[in-house]
Amino acid sequence: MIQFILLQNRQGRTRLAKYYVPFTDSEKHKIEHEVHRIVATRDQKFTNFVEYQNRKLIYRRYAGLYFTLCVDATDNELACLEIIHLFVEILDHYFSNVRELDLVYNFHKVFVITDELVLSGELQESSKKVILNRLGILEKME
Amino acid sequence: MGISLFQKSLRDMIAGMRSNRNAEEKYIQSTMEDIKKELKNTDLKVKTVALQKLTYLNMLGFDMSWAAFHVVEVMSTQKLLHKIVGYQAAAQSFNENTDVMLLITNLLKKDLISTNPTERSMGLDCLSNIATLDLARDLVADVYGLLSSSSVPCRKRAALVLYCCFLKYPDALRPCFKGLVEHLDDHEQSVVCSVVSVLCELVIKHPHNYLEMAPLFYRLLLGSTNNWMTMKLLKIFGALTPLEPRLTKKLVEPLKNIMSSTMAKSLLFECITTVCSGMTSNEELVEMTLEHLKDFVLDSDPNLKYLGFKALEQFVKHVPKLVLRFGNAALLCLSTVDPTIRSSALRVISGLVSKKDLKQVIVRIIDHIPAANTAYRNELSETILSICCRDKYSLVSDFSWYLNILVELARVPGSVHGKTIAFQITDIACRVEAMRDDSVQAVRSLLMDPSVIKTSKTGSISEVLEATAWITGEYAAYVEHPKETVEALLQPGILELPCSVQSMYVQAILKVFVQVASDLLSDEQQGGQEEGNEEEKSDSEEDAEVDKIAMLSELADLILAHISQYAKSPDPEVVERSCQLKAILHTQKEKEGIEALRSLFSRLSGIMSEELQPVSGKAQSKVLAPDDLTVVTPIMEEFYDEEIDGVPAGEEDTSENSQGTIAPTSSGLDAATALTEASEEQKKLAEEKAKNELQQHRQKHGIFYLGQDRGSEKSGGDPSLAASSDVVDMPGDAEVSPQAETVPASSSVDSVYSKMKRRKGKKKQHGAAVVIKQDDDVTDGAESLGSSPLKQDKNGLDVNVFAPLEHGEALPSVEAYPTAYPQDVYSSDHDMMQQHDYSQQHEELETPAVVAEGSSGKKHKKKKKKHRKKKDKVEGAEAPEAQAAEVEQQS
Repeated sequence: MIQFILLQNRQGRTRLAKYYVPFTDSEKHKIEHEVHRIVATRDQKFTNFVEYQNRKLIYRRYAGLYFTLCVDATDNELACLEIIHLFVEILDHYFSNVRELDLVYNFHKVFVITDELVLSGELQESSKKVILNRLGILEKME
Repeated sequence: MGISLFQKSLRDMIAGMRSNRNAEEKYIQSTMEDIKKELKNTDLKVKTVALQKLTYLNMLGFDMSWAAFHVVEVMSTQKLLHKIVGYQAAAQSFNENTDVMLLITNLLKKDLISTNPTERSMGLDCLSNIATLDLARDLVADVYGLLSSSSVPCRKRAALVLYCCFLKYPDALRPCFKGLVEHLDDHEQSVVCSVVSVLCELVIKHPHNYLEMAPLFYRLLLGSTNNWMTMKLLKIFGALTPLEPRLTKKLVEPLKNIMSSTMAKSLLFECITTVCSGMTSNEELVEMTLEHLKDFVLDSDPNLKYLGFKALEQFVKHVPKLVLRFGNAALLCLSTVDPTIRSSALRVISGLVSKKDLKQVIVRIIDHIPAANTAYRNELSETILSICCRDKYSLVSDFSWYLNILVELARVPGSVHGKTIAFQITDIACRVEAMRDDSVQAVRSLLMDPSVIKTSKTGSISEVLEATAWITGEYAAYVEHPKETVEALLQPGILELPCSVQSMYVQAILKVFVQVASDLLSDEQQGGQEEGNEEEKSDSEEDAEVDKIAMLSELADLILAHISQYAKSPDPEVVERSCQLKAILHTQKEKEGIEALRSLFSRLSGIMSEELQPVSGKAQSKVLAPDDLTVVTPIMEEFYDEEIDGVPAGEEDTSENSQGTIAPTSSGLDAATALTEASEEQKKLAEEKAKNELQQHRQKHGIFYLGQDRGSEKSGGDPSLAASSDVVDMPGDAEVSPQAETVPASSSVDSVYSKMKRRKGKKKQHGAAVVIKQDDDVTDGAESLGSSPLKQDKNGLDVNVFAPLEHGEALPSVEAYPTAYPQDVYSSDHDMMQQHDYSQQHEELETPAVVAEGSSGKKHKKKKKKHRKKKDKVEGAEAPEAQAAEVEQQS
């Protein structure tokens, strides 16, 4: 089960934070701080997996942005990397050549996209096409 | 979204934050003020934009709990565009402690039964994020209803949100389970996939409850075309196979097919994890998995390498022989940059090492130490130490080599393993007599090297030095160059070491000196015997004698010259030992003539030479207790009597002991007998009363009782626990023999009680018999028909999902809320109140068993049939009982 999704830039600014298990505001803040410290200091040659408390962080860097998933210890690391990649592909498609600023100014849309992809900590749809279609329908409403 | 003239839009605010980087805090402060004002505005547009801005700031870490009510306001608007902002804000900021949570129950309920698919999915998304016990209880029936919606995205979401509800409100699991499982046959793959995801989470948590579903999962696995779902199914089997090894055989073929055909590394890795979690007994499969793991381990991608080693760590535990081929690859990985890969490779290596290649492997590990950083160095040292001391050094065949390795490890700068190294060196020297010479020589280099002491401040080498000094002193007979050794023991740097080490050094000096002296003088004695025969040599013999005395006094002078440095130590032990040494040296100086010296040192070495022997941990039991040892007899009789008076219902232990091995004094015995009789009498009464009361209570409120807890049987003292064990004891009550002589009272009460019970009402006893039968069949003994599995406090999700629903066990429906569902959303067969037909459900679950098990599963099938018959019986038996209980409740 995915416990949270974090998008941070290299300076540690949170661009998206979505939690699937309850945390208080101060815990969230601490987690974001720690995750940035862990992820940003890792060498590029290192693995994309870090053990974090009794969970795992799976992260991947795209340009200046770190996409981090925190999952249970039993979860499959490679599958998580694929989820991250799927997420990025969808963002890229939706914003056509996504940049960090797109995410900053459209954080509410990113939330909607996240909800289409992951629900209650589980991947709810694995098809890029289906999700983009859904987003198209939601877009029309606005 | 239209924006009023003077309001900052979200975009404006973010742009403002970016342009005010230096004074961001201040900017946010002022924005926050604006937001507060805007939220109070009656214009909904203004309010919504303000809330959206606030949500953004909340994501960055600013508090928004104060705005909870405004969130609800925006949530309850009609316009979807506004609503969605409110829902996002709620999903992000609401938690268990939000007090306005009560206000949104109805709102969410309305969304869930809405005809608009967007509203439904918004409600589901929001609920999944903020579900609390109350929300889950009030809304789970609606979520369950959405499972039969005609819209695919809706069914998909509903399944996942149901899991959120189960987590918060476990009582919902059993009523919903059948409906959830039905959707494994949904014609839409993505819905099946979500249901599998939910089941996967449930199975991983309590696999024993879901063994019955294995055939169903197997069928899905064979038919699955979606990699994500296949991964989840494999995860399920990974959890089930350790409990049911027979599944392995069935899974071999599908796993082989997947592994050979798939292109996706993630799926391949999932297969590997499944195999190593419970199928390592199948050699063919393991062989194939290891082939694939080879690609992982040798891949240049660090991720795959790491995962490969992680999996190997598991395999090493079960099939170390098959993993041997990876030894070299693991050793090569010790120089990888990523610390996680290195650690994993180290663990694999440590699982693989055998007696034959120990030396080679250790040397290769040590090779990496100089280039490593401190943390890694310590990790490498730790691995070496733990490999070698495993099973009492069973891998080490050449101890003198290992002693040198230990000394080498002690020299590793910044080492934190000094204590372990010191222990191991001392351990080997003590246990193995043949190794004492080698250990003295091995530690000599540490003793001689002044640079070692200098490094003592950064690491933990001082502990090793303490052991070094002890070994040198204790086994001084093996010291080859006494003068150099004594000099080394006296070097000024020692004063920088901890006091305990210093005192060890002083003691070692004394021991070495006495050893040297007695050696020299006893040589003299032997020489003296020969002296009589060869008179010519007497001159040279005399010279030798003088030489030896000169040597001795030279050594003594050397010690005396330096020993005073210890006298100023703050530690009393060091001071005392150094003074002792001084005194002995002075005595030696005063003695004149070789005979006097000889007698002095023979006495001294007599004191020192007694060896410290290693003692087995079990040695104490071999020592017989002396006949006159009376540990139980009271020291003061008066006191003993008083104690008995003070504690009327004392423990029976005392009395038993006093009747036992040792004859107590007469008054003690009398008192003890009186005590047991009195307490048994009282106990009988008390227990009988308690049991009666409890039984009455149980009959009245039977549904609130848990299944009998076998673990609690031991403690018979607690009346509630005694009663729970009572249910188990009853059918065979006459044969139940008291567990020990000490509890005759309770067992007799049991039999009296159960006889009485038999007369009183046969129904209840019947129920008890049912409990026993059920216990034999069901894998999880904690559950029984007699008690509701739903009432368990801990692990609410740990329930038997296949047991039929009980009377009154259903999803809660809240009357206060509208319960009329529009027909187009719900199919007509949606009726949760209906009790599930158990046997029918079983039929469904069992049909795939035929497919899955084929010819090999015949026996299993038969068993299942029997199993079902039994259950039917049980159910039949239970029905009148349930009625009776109902009647009782009504009365």
